Amino acid sequence: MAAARTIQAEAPIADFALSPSGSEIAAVLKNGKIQVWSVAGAPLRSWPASVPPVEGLLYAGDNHIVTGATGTLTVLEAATGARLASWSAADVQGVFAPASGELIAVVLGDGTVGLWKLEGTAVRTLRAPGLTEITRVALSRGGERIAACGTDADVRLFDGKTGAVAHVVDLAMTSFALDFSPDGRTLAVGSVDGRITLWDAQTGGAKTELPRYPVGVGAVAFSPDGVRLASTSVSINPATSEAEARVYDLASRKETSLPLGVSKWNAIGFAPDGRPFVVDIRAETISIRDLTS
Amino acid sequence: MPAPLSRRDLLEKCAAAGLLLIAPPFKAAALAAHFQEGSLAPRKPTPGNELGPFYKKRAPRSGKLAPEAAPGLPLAVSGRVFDTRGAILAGALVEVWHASHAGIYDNQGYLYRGQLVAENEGKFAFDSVMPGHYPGRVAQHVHFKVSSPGAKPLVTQMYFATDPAFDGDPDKNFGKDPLVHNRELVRPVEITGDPGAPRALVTFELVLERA
Repeated sequence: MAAARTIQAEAPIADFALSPSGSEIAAVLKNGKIQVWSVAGAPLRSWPASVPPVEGLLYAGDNHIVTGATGTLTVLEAATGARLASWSAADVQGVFAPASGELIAVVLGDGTVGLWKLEGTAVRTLRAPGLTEITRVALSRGGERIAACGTDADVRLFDGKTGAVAHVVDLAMTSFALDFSPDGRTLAVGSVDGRITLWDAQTGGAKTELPRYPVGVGAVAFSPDGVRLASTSVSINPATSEAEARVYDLASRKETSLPLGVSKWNAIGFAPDGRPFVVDIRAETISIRDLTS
Repeated sequence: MPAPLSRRDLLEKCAAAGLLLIAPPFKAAALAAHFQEGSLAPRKPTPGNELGPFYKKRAPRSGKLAPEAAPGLPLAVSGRVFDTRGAILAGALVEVWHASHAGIYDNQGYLYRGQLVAENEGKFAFDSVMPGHYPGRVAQHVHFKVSSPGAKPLVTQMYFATDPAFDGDPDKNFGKDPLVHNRELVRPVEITGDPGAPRALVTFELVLERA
């Protein structure tokens, strides 16, 4: 039985993010305000709209929130909202960070990925032949391995120290769901065709495949101890399809499933006590449900 | 009618014209087609368009994309593949995919997906049904990914002038779908066949930039 709670935001949600420890949810609203709640559903903090208006946000570790507005990236202190750094960045398509949060990956429209320190210092630019229309980037803790998937259904595994492409993972369809295991050795890939596959992050070799979803995968997340993989599917194609959340024990191969109904925008994480939970967003409503596993 | 050129003649003429150096992957049969058609005419590259999230590798090599008795208006698409110099790209790989009549992509299997190999005259063709409107996109469309040695890969989409989204005036309304960047990608549709069993015919020329 899944415990559920509902949060009503002040306005429709433009973007949201889960903190890496699974303790908080932050959202930027369409009125420009940023609100933060505990995963238990309690309001924690709220910051007024800024100029230019924030369009997207993510956690970089538990201590920082990175916001993106047209032409600008800003790093905030997650506890206070204090602005720590801000820099110009044009044609940003997406921003990603490792759970450890010491750097961020900025995807640009030309298919390159810029690595930046949180104080706004450029580290290096990653590029790979044929890599355009990047759907998702994942970084291992410490940034030693970086995975970037394009709509061409290849995941490029970069060596984070040199910026070179170490391996190319050959998928059948693209992925919007990537996550490295906490030890950085395994990359989980959830694809648009419903497949969830695990890959050796050092060699690029296939490790195993989990039970397939009948629709596309929306999110994947390893548990902090690396022994479970949580995932969701999304109601994108067809738009009326039923979505699910699942938790798969990699040792016992036991799987737990929770039906989500029609769910077009969701995320999954593990709370600090290890319990997996799924977040579903509809307009200004955030639904949080725990999964037993 | 002139006698067909011998392979040796062709190779000599091509070498003299620099063709063999410029386009080494060309096959003799493709070169014959060039000579029988006269001189090469430069062509504008086909405008590119997004690959999109539903590209799937390793589709079957088949020009029959729709299953038997699939709902929807039968659709036949044909065309030729060139480079911008006007050279026929025989052997070019043309990957195509689109949504079903109901606007749904088959991501679990390979319905409405196929790989075609351009023939000696650069011709390709496939049969399917008119795609429906995928939720989130305004216009009906077919995706193309084309590759050939010596040419830059072409990723594009083809649209239909008859699409209700264009309100009968694609010149004016093609931009109603923000992903339709170029009017050239909206193709005229010829309806043929009996009134009780109509069929849509569309031609689409694919011109790749040289590598």
